[in-house]
Amino acid sequence: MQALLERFPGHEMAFLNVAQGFLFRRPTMAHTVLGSCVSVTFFAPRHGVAAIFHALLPKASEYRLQDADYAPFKFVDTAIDTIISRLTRRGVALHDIECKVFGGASALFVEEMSVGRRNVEMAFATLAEHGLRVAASNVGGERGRKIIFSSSTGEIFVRMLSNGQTSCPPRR
Amino acid sequence: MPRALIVDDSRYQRHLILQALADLFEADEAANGQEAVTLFKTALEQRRPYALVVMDILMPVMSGHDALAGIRRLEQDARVAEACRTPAIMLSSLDDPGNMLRAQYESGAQAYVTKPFTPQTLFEALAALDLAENPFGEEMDGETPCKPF
Repeated sequence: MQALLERFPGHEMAFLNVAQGFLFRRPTMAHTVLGSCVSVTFFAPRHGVAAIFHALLPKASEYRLQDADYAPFKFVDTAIDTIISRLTRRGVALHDIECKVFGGASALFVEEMSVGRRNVEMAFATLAEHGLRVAASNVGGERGRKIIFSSSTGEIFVRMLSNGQTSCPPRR
Repeated sequence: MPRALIVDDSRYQRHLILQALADLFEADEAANGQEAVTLFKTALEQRRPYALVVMDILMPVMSGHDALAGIRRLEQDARVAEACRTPAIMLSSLDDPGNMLRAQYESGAQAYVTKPFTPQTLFEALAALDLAENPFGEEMDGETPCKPF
């Protein structure tokens, strides 16, 4: 982490909790830890703005007891809608936004369609509905991820969390 | 230097990928999925497994999805531990949800990068796989993800 902070001087740090989303105008390093949750990053360098959220569940309408108006970033679909609405309100054109998707891990033995996979599926589908292209994704698997997003460059740094070490033979 | 297997039916795309990876890997090239599976099988038999596979999807003879699934079967047959399997990045111009999901949840890719790609995006994917410098450092293990799966 220290190396990252030295590489990005003058950046604020912001930790993203579950069901939080941020839109940045000032240089910020936003970080969070993901299991089955999903984060999507939005980077619009021409407009000097970036955004990220950390959502827990795929679709707000599947959880009618929850009011998405009060927690839009809890659900992947409403999180994307909210961020896109805030970006476009600031004059950001959709074709200027670069998106990346992270998270969506599953436990080793889960039901056929894990919540992690459904979160990612919802993220890809909702972004596609808005006509947004996913430049890169790092999703699935059985391990959690820690991610740091640089709002000034759009770079994402991912560290896979350990599930216990397996010693592998060297590759030549 | 570790070895990478670059699979793409476009010579120009292979050139771009090779150029981006030149400082990190020696590379073998395949122009379709079948060639990739054959090269990977030989590497396993010679006990010189690749450190990385970069795989296109739309190719003649055999698609990237089928090739990667074939590579995972070869590793399984050779009893390569899951944690020691060769990481794979799917690198494709296909940007639809179906292909991105299939690649990472079924075919066995660890990351997906959409063409046209920048070297920076490719390096981010490599760093997440510990195949390029990861400025994150090593201190992250032991953190608790958002919630139980």
